[in-house]
Amino acid sequence: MRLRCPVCHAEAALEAWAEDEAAREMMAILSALDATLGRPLVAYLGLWRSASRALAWERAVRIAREVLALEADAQRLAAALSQTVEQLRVKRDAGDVRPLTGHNYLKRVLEGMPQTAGALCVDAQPQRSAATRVQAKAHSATVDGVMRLEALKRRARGEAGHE
Amino acid sequence: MSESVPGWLLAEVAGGIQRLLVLRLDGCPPADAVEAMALAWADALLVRGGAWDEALDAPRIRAAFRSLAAHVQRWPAPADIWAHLPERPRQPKLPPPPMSAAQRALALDMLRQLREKLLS
Repeated sequence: MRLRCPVCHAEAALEAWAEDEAAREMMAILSALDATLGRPLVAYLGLWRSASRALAWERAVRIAREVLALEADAQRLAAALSQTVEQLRVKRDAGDVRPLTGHNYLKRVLEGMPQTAGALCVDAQPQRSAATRVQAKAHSATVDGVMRLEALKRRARGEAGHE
Repeated sequence: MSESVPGWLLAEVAGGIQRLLVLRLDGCPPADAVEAMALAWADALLVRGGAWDEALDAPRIRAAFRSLAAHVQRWPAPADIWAHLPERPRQPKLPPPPMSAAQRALALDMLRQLREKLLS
């Protein structure tokens, strides 16, 4: 079975991908993650690729492991990754296309998460009960919203239309 | 909502709202309102945009949200998307059809008659 890379359009057999140990390991890492975390992680890995060279599987595996070791809370990490990717893509659109060389940016975003991620949207609903507030703080409102929209996207794609 | 929003349009709008949501802009909606907001945005686009075509318009909507996210300072309204919506890709024009010998002869004859009228 031959697969085509949607980014560089290189074509290779699925068996060839599977024979590469690092590629297999990368797929194993990604397949074990929830899509909410897996997608921003893949997007984040893309920021490490230079304009002229592909990101080696071994390097991608190492970076993915480093990222996953940064934060135990998967939802918090997913939110930080999404925010990092969005902000760095804006920089790239502005012409700064240098690939990432470290996790400092992500770490800074992650540090800012507890104070800001849930607070903005949670505070907009003063009528919520105390129990709901505690739950919302433990589970970032931003990530909750992103997950709700992800589910909506899946439903919308699966249906012919929506009333 | 009176009209049916196509699934692909709703999915594109939901993706765009996701993009905006992670920016945590001033005035962002609470998490439990994002689905209703996506439906309202999709309906607003449907009402104002008219006939949408997935192949032609899905990339435009994606690009519009991307551009909006790059420029917006606080949570936007659906109307703000139009300033960032690129034009539909234009179909390449066909070359003019080749002129047949009969058409060429007819044109030359018309020119000849015109010249004779002018000179008479």
